[in-house]
Amino acid sequence: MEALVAASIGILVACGVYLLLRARTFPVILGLTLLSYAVNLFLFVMGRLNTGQAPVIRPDHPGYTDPLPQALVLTAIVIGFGMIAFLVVLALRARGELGTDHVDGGEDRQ
Amino acid sequence: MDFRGFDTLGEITVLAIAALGIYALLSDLVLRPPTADAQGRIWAADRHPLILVEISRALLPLALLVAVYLFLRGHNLPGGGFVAGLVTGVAFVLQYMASGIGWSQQRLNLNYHPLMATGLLVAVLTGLGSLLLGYPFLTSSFGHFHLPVIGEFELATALAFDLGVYLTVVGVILLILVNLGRLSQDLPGQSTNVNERIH
Repeated sequence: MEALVAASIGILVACGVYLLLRARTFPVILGLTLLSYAVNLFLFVMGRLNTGQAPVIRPDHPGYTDPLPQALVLTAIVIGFGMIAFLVVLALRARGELGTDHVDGGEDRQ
Repeated sequence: MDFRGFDTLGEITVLAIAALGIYALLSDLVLRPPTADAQGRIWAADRHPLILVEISRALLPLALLVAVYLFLRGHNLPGGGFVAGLVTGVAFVLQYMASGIGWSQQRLNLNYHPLMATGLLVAVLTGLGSLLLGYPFLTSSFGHFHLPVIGEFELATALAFDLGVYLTVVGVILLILVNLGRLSQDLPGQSTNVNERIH
């Protein structure tokens, strides 16, 4: 199970970095999104993978899940959503101002 | 929400700030969508298909009912202020999409900036309320009440905090999406021309 999650994180990071290095703004946005999802998943699995356990330590019950990574990731997901929304609108504004969606502002400009 | 209140307060603050930034970026933006697609075919002339118009109007009260249900069950079961706000926001955005910005603005004449600010204020005041009684910031309490038709009901002060979250999320969603929708209203067939920013 841990191998599956680790592989998923690796795939997400690979796709995210590949898209981040593209020359147009929309793939860059998608790349940042995938990268942020990968980091959120990574933080979440830092508190050991357990299914069906409550985030409470009980004396009679052996298993528990770590609530701190869950709390951190919940906040990170919501803030990531706000940032991605802002980024999309920033890309739209750049398209309106520059007339092109190239990340350098134009094909010939460096 | 009892022990995650401070996180949630930070989250809704960040959402509100992002919405304000988006509003500022979109305020003077002129972005004309193309009148035809890449192969040269013109978009359909019918901007408001009748089926979508009728279904969206019929679904609005049901969607709001689902939002209230999700809001009230959020304390002990999956739900809460965030998803209830999203369902409400999506229901209203569907009205904007189906019937047009002019029609919707005539009927839903809300100012979204005060709505977001009210939500944040409610959330912060709920947290400060526990300070007045001598407990740390954002301590919550709950009690069981007996309502006439519904029966035994558990209410917590976290519900007031959730109301603040709900109002903020609705304001954020509507402010962002309605101002994004305003960009593409110059297409032929649009019945109203709303040029001013939608607050």
